[in-house]
Amino acid sequence: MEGRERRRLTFLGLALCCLLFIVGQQEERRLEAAAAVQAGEAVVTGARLYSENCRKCHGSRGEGLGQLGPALADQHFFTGRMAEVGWLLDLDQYVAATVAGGRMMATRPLYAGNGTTAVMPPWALDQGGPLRVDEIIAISRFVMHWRATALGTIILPVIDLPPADRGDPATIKAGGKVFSTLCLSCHALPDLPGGQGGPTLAGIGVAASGRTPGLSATEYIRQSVLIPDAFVVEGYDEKTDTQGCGALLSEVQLEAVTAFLLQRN
Amino acid sequence: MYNGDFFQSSLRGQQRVEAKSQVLPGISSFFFHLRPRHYPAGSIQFSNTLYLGFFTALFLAVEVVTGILLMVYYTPTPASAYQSVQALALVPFGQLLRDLHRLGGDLLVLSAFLHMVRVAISGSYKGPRRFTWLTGSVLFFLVLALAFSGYLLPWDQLSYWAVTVGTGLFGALPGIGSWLLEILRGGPEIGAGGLLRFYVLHVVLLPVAVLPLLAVHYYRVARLHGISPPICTAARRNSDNLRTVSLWPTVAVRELQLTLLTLFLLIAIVAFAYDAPLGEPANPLRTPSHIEAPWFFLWAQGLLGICPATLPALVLIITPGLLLLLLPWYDRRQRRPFGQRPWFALALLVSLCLLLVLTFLGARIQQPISHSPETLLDALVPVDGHGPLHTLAYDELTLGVHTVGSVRTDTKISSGLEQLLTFIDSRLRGAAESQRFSESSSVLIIETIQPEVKRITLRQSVRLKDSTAARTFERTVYRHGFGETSLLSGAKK
Ligand code: HEC
Ligand code: HEC
Ligand code: HEM
Repeated sequence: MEGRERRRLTFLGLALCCLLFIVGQQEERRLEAAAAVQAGEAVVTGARLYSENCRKCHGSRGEGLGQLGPALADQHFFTGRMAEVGWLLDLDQYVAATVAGGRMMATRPLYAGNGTTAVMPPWALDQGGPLRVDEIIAISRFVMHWRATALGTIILPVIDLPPADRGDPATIKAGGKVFSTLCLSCHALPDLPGGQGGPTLAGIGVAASGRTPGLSATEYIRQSVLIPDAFVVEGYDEKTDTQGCGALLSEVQLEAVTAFLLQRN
Repeated sequence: MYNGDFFQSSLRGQQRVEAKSQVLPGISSFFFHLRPRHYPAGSIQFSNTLYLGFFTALFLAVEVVTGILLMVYYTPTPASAYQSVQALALVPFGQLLRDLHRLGGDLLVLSAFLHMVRVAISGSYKGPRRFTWLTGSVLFFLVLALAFSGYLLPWDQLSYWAVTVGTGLFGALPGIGSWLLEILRGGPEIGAGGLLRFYVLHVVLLPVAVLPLLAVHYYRVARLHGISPPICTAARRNSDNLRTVSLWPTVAVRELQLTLLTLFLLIAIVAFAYDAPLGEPANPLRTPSHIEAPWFFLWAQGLLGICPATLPALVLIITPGLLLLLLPWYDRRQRRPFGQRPWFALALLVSLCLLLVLTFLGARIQQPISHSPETLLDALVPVDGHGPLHTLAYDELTLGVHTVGSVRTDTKISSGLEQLLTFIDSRLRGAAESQRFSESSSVLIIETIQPEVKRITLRQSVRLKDSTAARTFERTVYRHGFGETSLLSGAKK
């Protein structure tokens, strides 16, 4: 009886040691896997945050959007940009620092903005922005992860996407109002006689997607209003100096009027 | 200089002359002081106690050891709590540590509860053991408080909002409610102050409260009354209960065996089959669509779900605790075998069933019930956390624009994706049958946006019953294929 109990004890002790040994053996591989997974998780979080916060200036694929923001998925950004601005640390630190603090003034005249607000607002919480430190790091990881495609070492497969249809009736209705008050003075629509300052916007929902390669219809309409010079409709080259497109509108108004125009195809 | 004589004299009345052989007897007498040398044979009889008190104490010890080690890595501030927990996975044996602490804590709650049920069934709370029961009940509340306060510490959406709602209940108390709320949360809502408070509760106040209480509890069981003997025939009682077993080796070996076995199972489960959950980081500005209480409070959530107002629910939540605490004082009859206590048996059975039903209700409540397009999308692609789109492996996400509900012959897609599309289709049909919208079509777009990063968009066009215009709803998630080649369970999905 006594002997059996002790043998059982020894057996259990040995079994526990074996288990600990096996777990110890695997720990290194587990650590590697965990590191990879966390790196991936950070990039994925970064992708979401980028699309929520940065896309509207830097483009949904980091291609840059006119005068709003420079390209990030870009060879020059990964090879020459650090030397250009005299940054001494690594590029990922440059990205994180830039994102955290934003930019009061642009380093290039193209992005000069209107001189009253920061060309890129600060994003870090402690600088008055909306993002936590780990979120800034995640976005930076995502931006840095463009390196391979930007340098052309990897080419990703492309698929044909169906156009997004922003069919929310409330937004469209609001957009129609914005259009009548702010755009109708220059633009006409088939059922809405308007001013002659700009081209008629009949069929713009379809035309927009073909205007600038790489820009979606939505992005093109936004750009037309925000950066009139980026693409000038034939016959308006001279007029734009005095009578350029554009109106002062809020982000919400722009969203709405874009949705409104996209419906008119 | 060390003066053995002086030391001895201060501890005991008599002086010992020889100092050289003091060490071993000293150590052993220390242990014999903690624990009696002899026990009634019934103490180590499994059918008597199911060893549940022992397991509870063992899990508590596991919690203390792993908890102290976790403190080395954990930072109790909103800015870094989540990261410090996440970073544990990158520390050698850090994930193991965290999983052990989490699983051990759950088992602690469970075994303390079962221990209580065992004591209730065997009627061991009566007579001189009333006070033991009282200390035990307070211990149980402390264990629950420990589990609940620890629940907040990872600072993810799940824990943050569960604790926000949980503490919010106290606000319904008349008079002291808002005051209590402020003390618990350290402000109008849980922030840096609240996190620190819960941390201090979890690692200092509650453990410090548990230890002396446990000492009293154990002292009363082991020294004062002994474990209550099984009630059975007089003949067996004499033969069984008058026999004693000694601490060394019989009881100690048995306890060591149990300890080793438990540790073996615990570590094996944690290493190969269990990962402590960690959701999205806490975001005080975004209330998730589902808030779920920790499992040991799901019954309270169930109760809240069926109660029209918070205050009655709160009363219903607190009353059973008081009833439990005072059980020996209103059930004062002589100790009898369980079979001869039909009313008590019935009450116990009904309470346990009620607990289970309410827990089940609590778990159900988070399921969305309406079939509006938003809730439908929410179920398929939750804003926080993981939904069906996360169940597929990265490689199973075949690139392309996949129309939900149509027969695909052109492109080859993975079988997992095929199943997912069928699943989405069935959910959509279910919603259509509920007649909320007359027509709907969906596409699932899967594209690669960066090496090893895919964007998955579920875009749904519906025509609502009462309107002619089609509306589009869409949700996007991103997936990555990093480290997909590794075979380990440690890799979270
Ligand atoms: C309001 C438009 C706007 C938004 C939104 C915006 N940016 Fe910028 N960003 C800019 C401008 C303008 C610059 C400055 C260009 C310059 O200095 O020449 C810039 C510069 C940068 C740079 C440095 C680029 C370089 O070439 O030096 C990075 C990196 C960057 N942004 C990342 C981000 C990220 C990440 C986000 C989202 C969190 C974001 N930006 C959001 C407008 C924006
Ligand atoms: C002061 C007159 C004026 C106003 C007001 C105006 N635009 Fe324009 N718009 C123009 C001119 C001129 C062009 C053509 C030059 C160009 O492409 O930049 C144009 C071009 C466009 C284009 C591109 C058309 C094409 O076929 O590519 C769009 C889209 C557009 N505007 C939208 C708007 C919206 C939306 C508003 C209201 C918020 C608006 N515009 C207000 C003058 C105006
Ligand atoms: C931290 C939690 C607890 C620990 C570590 C603990 C530990 C123990 C231990 C080791 C025993 C010896 C007998 C056995 O193993 O069953 C015991 C007995 C007992 N416990 Fe607990 N206990 C805890 C909680 C509770 C609770 C929640 C109750 C009831 C409300 C309770 C009531 C009792 C009673 C009445 C006895 C005496 C049983 C008898 O004499 O048969 N204890 N406890």
